[in-house]
Parts: sequence; C-alpha cells; structure tokens
Amino acid sequence: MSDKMILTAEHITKKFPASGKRVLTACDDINLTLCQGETLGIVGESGCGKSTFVKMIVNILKPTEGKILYRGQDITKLKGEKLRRLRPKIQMVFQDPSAAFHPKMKVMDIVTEPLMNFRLIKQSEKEEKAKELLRMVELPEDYIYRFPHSMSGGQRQRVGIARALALEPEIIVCDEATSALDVSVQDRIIELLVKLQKEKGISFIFICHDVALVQSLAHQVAVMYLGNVVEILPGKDVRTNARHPYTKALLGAIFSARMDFTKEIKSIESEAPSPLNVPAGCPFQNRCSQCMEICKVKKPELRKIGEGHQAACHKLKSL
Amino acid sequence: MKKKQNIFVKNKKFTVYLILALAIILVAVLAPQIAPYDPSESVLTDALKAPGEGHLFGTDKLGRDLFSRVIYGTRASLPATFALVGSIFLVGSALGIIAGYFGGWIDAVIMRIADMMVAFPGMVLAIAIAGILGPSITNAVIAIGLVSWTKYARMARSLVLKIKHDDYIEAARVTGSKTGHILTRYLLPTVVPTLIITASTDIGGMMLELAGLSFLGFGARPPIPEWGLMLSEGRSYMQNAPWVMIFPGLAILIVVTVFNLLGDSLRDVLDPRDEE
Amino acid sequence: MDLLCMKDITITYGKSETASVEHFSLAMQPGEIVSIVGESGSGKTTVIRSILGLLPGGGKVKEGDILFQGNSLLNLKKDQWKALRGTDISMIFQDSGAMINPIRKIGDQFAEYIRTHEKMSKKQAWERGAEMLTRMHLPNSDNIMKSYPFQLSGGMRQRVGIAMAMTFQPKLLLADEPTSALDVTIQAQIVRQFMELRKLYHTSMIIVTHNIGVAAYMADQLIVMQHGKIVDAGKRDDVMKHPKSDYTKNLLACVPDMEGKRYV
Repeated sequence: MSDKMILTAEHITKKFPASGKRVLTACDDINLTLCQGETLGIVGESGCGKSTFVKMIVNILKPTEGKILYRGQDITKLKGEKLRRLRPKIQMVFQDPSAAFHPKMKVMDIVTEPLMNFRLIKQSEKEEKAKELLRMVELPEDYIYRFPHSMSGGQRQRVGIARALALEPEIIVCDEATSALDVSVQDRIIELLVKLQKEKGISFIFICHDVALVQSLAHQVAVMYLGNVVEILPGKDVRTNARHPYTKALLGAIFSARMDFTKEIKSIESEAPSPLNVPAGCPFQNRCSQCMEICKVKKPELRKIGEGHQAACHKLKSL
Repeated sequence: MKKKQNIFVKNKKFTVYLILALAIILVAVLAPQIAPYDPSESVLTDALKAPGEGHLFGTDKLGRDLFSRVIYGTRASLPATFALVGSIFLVGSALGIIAGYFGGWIDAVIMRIADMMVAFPGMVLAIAIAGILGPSITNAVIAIGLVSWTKYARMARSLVLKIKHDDYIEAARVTGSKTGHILTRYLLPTVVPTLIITASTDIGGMMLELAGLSFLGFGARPPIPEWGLMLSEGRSYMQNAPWVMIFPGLAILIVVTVFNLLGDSLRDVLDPRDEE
Repeated sequence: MDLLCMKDITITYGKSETASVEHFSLAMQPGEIVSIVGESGSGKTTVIRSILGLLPGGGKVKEGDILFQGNSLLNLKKDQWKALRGTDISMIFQDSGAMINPIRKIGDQFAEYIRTHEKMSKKQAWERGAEMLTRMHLPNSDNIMKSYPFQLSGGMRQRVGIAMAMTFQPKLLLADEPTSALDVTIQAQIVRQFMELRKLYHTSMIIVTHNIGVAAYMADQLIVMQHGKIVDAGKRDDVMKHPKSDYTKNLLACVPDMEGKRYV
C-alpha cells in the first residue's frame, strides 16, 4: 500500500488567533493518507475543520505544526516560485460555483488561465484547448464564449472541474463541490468525477457533510469532529462497520428516499461545543450516550481497530 | 465603439456633466484665444474699474482685466488639481492594494505611516510644509498630497481585504497565477472603479483646498492669476469693488460644482452592481 | 371542512406571461403534514408564500382560490392579515436568524412579538417567551432571551424561530426549508421536534424542502413539483413507492443513500 501513497498529512495542526487572546484550534493533529488513483472522503459537520484541512493541502493556508508530504517532499515549507511550480500537481474544485470565477472572465479564459500561467500554451492555442477541456467535462464547445453567470449551477461546476483538469493534476481537492447543486445535478457531477478518475488515474480528496454521498464514492472515509479525525475506514465498510459513536450518529441522522418512514429518526442531543472551547478529553463527550469518566479526562487517540480501520474512542479495543 | 455610445445615451446626467467639465478644460487650453487681455498686463489708470464695456468683469487694483485673469485661472487651478488627485490616487491605491494583499509587516508599516498622516490636521500640516519648502503651487500640491493619499490607501486596502479570501482569488492562486497577475488582473479591476469615483468627487474638494492655501498665502504667488490668490488680493476692496472677489469666487463655485456632479454621476456609470 | 384548500392556483410575477406556479391544488385536514418537494426553480417557495400573502416583487395569484377554514385568503385587508398571521397561521424560514433583528436581544423581540398579538405587560410577555423556549427544549431559556442572535448557533436560532411561530398555537405552520441550513445531526433534532409539536398541539404543517428524505419522513401527503407544476402528489407511501412521473423516479434514484449505488 505504501508504494501507492501520493500524499500524507502528518500531525497537521492549525490554530487561529481569536479575540481576547483565545486560540481557535481548527485542526488538531490530523494524520491522513491519500493513495494514488483513489478517493479520500472527509465527512463532518460545519466547524469540524475539514475545509481548513484541505486549504492546507492546496497550500492556501500554512499549518501551525506538522508536515504534508507529496511524494515524500514536505510541501508546507515551499515558498514563491518553488510553491508555484508545485501547484499544477494539486488542484481544487470549489463549493460555490458562482463565487469561484472572476466575474468578468469568459469561460475560455477561465479554463485556460492555469495553462497560460505556466506558459504551456500560446495565445493562439487557447480556443482549441478550451474546447478540448469543455469536451472533457461534457459541456458544449461553444460555451467557451459564455460568462459563468449566464450558466446553470451544474454547468458552472463543470467549468470549475475543467479548470482543475487543465494542468493535468495528480490530485484534485473537492470542497463540498456538489453541495450547492440539486440532487439530480449532483448525481451527474459525481459520475463525471468518477469517470475522470478511472480514465486519468487522478486522486481525489472529497469533502462533504453528507456521509451517504461520501461513502458511495470514496475508497477511504475519514470522519472529522471538532478538529479531530475520529474514525478512518474503507468507504464500502461505512454502512456495516462504522464503530465510533459520532459516525454512528451521522449514519442515524440520514434521511433517504429508501428509509423506513415509520421508524423514528435517531438523533444525538445537544450541539458541538465551540472550537474556541474544546473540552479536555474526548471532543465528543457531551453528546455521547456512552460517555465514561475517562472520556472527560483523557483524549482518545486514533488507534487501529481492524484491517484498514482506525477509530478514536475509549470504548473500542485496539487491535 | 458602439458600447461607448450606449454608455452616454444611458447616462444622460453623466454626459451633460462630462461636456461641462470638458468645456472647462477647453477654456484652460484656449485661454490665450478667449482672454481679451494679457492677464498680467497692468494699466494703473484703469485700476478697480467696475464691470462694463471693455472689461467684462471689471479690473483689479492693478488695473488688470479680471475676465482674462479668471480665464487664465483655469490654467493655474486645473493642472495643479489634476496632478494632485492623480498622484494621491496612484500612490494611495497602490500602497493600499499592496498592504491589503500582502498583510503582515508590509501592511503594518504602510498603514502606521498612513495613521500618522491622519493624526495631523491636514491644513495645518500643509501650512507647515508650505512654510518649510516655501510657498508655491507645486509645494502646495505636495503638502496636500502628503496628507490626502491615506484615504485612498485605506479604501483600497479594505476593498482588497474584503475580496482577498474569496474563492475566485484563492482559485487564481491554486492555479498558479503569479502575484503580479493576481494584483493586476484580479484585485485592480475590482478596486479601481470605487477609487475612480472617489477621485472624481475629490477633484472639487482638492481644488478648494489648493485655493484655500493660495488664499492664505501658502500656495500660488503673485502675479500668477490663481483664483484663491485673487480672492485674497481682493479682500481689502470688498466694500467698494466687490467684483474683484465675486468673479473668482463664482469661478471656483462653478468648477467645483461641475466636478462634484461629474463624480457623482460617474458612480452611476461605474457602479459594478449595475452590470449585467 | 378542509383546514386549507388551494384550488387550481396560478401565480405570476410582474408582467411576466409565464406562470411561476400553474394549476396547483392542495387540500389538507387539521393535524396533517404536507411536504412540497422540488429542486431550485420548481415554484415550491412561491406556493407557500402565497398562502400568507407574502409574494415578493409583484407576485400575484392570477387564478384559483386559497381557502383557510372555508374563508378566502385572497384580497384580505391589512388588519385581517394581522389577526391571522402569527396566530392562526405562522411561518418559519430557512434561517430564522435572518428574520430577527441582529442588533436587538432575542427576548426583547420575542416579547414585542407576543405583545403585538395579545395585550399583556412586558414582563408577562417575556416570561411567556422564556416558557416557549423551554418547551422547545432550549436549555437556559433565560440566557437565550438575553442573547443577541449572533451569539446562538444556527440550530438554536431555528428553535427560537419555531418557538416564536408556535407561541399562539397556530392551526397551520408553514416552514420554508426549515432544516436546509443546519448540520445533519441538528437537522434530525429539528425534524423530531416538528413531529413532537404535531403530536402535542395537533398543528398542521406544510414543509417546503429540496431534501426528499426529510420531506418524505415528515409527510402524510407528499407533493413533487417541477417547473411550477405538480408532477406527483398523493399519500406519502404511494408517491414514494409508486411514483407516476419519470421526474420523481429519477429524483428518488439520485438521492444518495447508504444502500444505494456505489460509484467506486
């Protein structure tokens, strides 16, 4: 497995200064691995730190501590031109397709800008290249002359994907890339991403708040809560084998079209504490039905509890 | 070209004020053709003549033709004002964009200097600078410029801070855009319209400040036909020869009003919200 | 008699010839929950807003009638609306925080709201508000009354919104995407709360949402809309198990779900 590793986050911690000398810990000692040609899904609710984490992967933010190794090289220390030279390898698709483009740029300029940035094509080749990229994301070629704001949400997101594909990256990070879309559009976008992955061997990091969606497309799923990864397991095992109480709570809160409507929906009580006031011990303690004394004192570490399966809970026995 | 025509048809107010402003500029350009007399030619026997035949606006204490002096006054005020507004616009915006985008110590240095400048009462600092450098129009421009650029820097900085973390700017970074490219292609176009509007509304105010400095004796020196200076010179004759103050005063009033209105109407034209 | 009856409603905006909602009909009984589900632009929000006469920007019910307890809601006068809104029919929005004034304390606004509908002292109104919050399972209701909206989480603000809407035990509660801005675990809590309210107060509800799972879970009657028209309507289980339109079938197939298709 190790020879397939393309990106590894080691002990990534990100703290932001907050008012009144307080510190907001957005990510607390995150360790995750992305394998070549696979999808790492990260699921969690708002404020769990998943967006902060991927911003460090694409080098928009620098971690407070820890390393991110891309093919063995720590990319968090890169600066200036060296960092820019790395950019083509790791690209990103943003959540809100209406906010992700320069409002005055045409689709042709948007999707070819990455190539122009690295002088990979000439001005005269822009049109041809833009058409080729649109074909890849299954948009009509003549859309290159349009502005994104005259397109639908799904079409815009395809433009966003085309831009991310332009530099032929090895890794594409999708931050809630389908959350702003209607479900039927979401389904088609996901199919496109999966197709691209199979054709080009791209590795994806896919962030989403919907555990049902994440497990359906991710090889590995990491569940985050309040800045911590609480469980990592293969996507296909999420349904049957999730063990952490928080993961189970997420699964219990899914409303689907095929659910048993007569069964009462399960929900955990209360809300996540503020990331400014993370309690000592287990971050999930105040909402956990099985909370013990030790949970309030000692923070459980992520431990191996099965083949390819890690969880951070005192209740679970390590392997 | 077609698009340009549409802009003028759509914004009638703007078109009217633009024509008026251009007319004022034209007056400055064609001053020698319009003015009937040499503005510095004094005929002491004709001193303090009331407006009438021969001298449309009358004459001043040295018998110089007031109409010619008011016309030539545009040549003193307009270039100085444009130079002033232009330079604080360029310097202020550039520093503000840089401070906002890079943050950290660069931001701290630029903005602390700006704070210091704001802490001085503008006119007083201008008087002090004019006092040190000696009174002249150039020095008045420098003096007012030194305290006025901060407004543009602050505005540019806050506009940049507002959009700096927007997805499309971060996307530009992720796709490998060079910093210069982001500054000129992404930040500048979003920041500039607002600043241009501010600059055009500032023209009137800056013209007043320059006239004010000249009035106080820290700007233009005699015999330059500068409106503020003319007001100052006419002050002692206000009782028996009021035209000596009225016409330069009217000139200031009209020019300042036209440029203020132009600035306001430019807002309607450039307001990014109105696009689409 | 039906509690609410919408008969063949057609709604247009401004001078536009094309209708935003066409031939929409609905009849509901006391205590019933109706869910209207559809994607963006389906006209579902327009429908719910038309009931309270809250159509924005020149929206107008062009054809049909809306009857509440047998009386038409079209052409009501200002004071008639005032007597109806908030007491007999009330509404909850996607983010209740957005309809509360951000610079005033929750309690002040809650008390003021109560006093516009019922004569009582400020203190009584305040206490009544606090009591409603407690009933909505908000701990430390006094603290919340003294808070500003931004100090509360999205889930808490939504509960405050529900508490305000339920104060006068309305016969009909309208909810526009009430859980869409919330985290999934909080969404489940709020859905449970709605179901509990129906049990306790026998309140009828119309829930508008794009989330088919939530819509179906809550509904007795389910209506699926597309482009301003009803494409499927009926008892929940009928629509979910035997959808008539291809649109509904496709929609149901696209909802991600644990047992559903895996892409990899």
